[in-house]
Amino acid sequence: MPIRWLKCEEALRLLSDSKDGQASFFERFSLKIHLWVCKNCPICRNHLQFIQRLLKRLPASQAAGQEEKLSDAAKLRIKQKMEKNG
Amino acid sequence: MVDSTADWVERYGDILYRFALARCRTPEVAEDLVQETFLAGLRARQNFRDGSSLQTWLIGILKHKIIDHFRSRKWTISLDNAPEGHNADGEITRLLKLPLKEWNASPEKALENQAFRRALNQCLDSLPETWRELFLMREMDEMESAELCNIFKVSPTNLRVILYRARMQLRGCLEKNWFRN
Repeated sequence: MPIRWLKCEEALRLLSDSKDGQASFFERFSLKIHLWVCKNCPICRNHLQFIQRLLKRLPASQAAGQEEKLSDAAKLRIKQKMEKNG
Repeated sequence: MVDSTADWVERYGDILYRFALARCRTPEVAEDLVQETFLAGLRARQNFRDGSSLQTWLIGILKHKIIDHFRSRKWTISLDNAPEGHNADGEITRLLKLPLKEWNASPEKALENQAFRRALNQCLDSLPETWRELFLMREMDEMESAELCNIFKVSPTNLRVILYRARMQLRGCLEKNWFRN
């Protein structure tokens, strides 16, 4: 596939595809050229990178915040089941 | 190794629960998965090697339970009928028209803010359920595309579209509900 000028909609799609290793060499190169010239798409790329880093860290942050816990009833139920099966 | 079952639940129950809840987003399902994990761990405790981390071992079992849970779902993820709650296409159209601004934030710092975590969780919960689980397995656990296609019974092409739409919808939701303010 030749290198070509991308519309923003195509560039956004390739931004996503490239995160999953799904963009070809020529697509990635075309995307690079678009990002040099376009004002919005590089910002969107930064937003997506932010989200990717965010979600990787989310479980650990929730553990640190200790917002979610097993209810006492659930803990009791699980212990009883384990004793029955132990 | 900790032998007491009460110790297992007290020590690791919350950690496993949060791990499951982050991925399946439903408290009842997360509880069931934690229960299944402890029971499976109980049955397989002879396989656990002293000296390694019991928590890591249990989370390994939980990961398999989560995958089995998603695999057992009966629904088919389709792109033809846009699922309820999906507004990714509208979001992309808006994105193309408006000038964007940098968020000027670090993910790590943002996650220290409880209000931001609440906004993020609301945005995640607003994603169509059929996409959300697949998307979170990709982003949180870096699951490979081939495995995701296998578990969620989607084609590679559909997977790419789902991930794209989920990313765009989440981006738009965070911008509207947090960063724009």
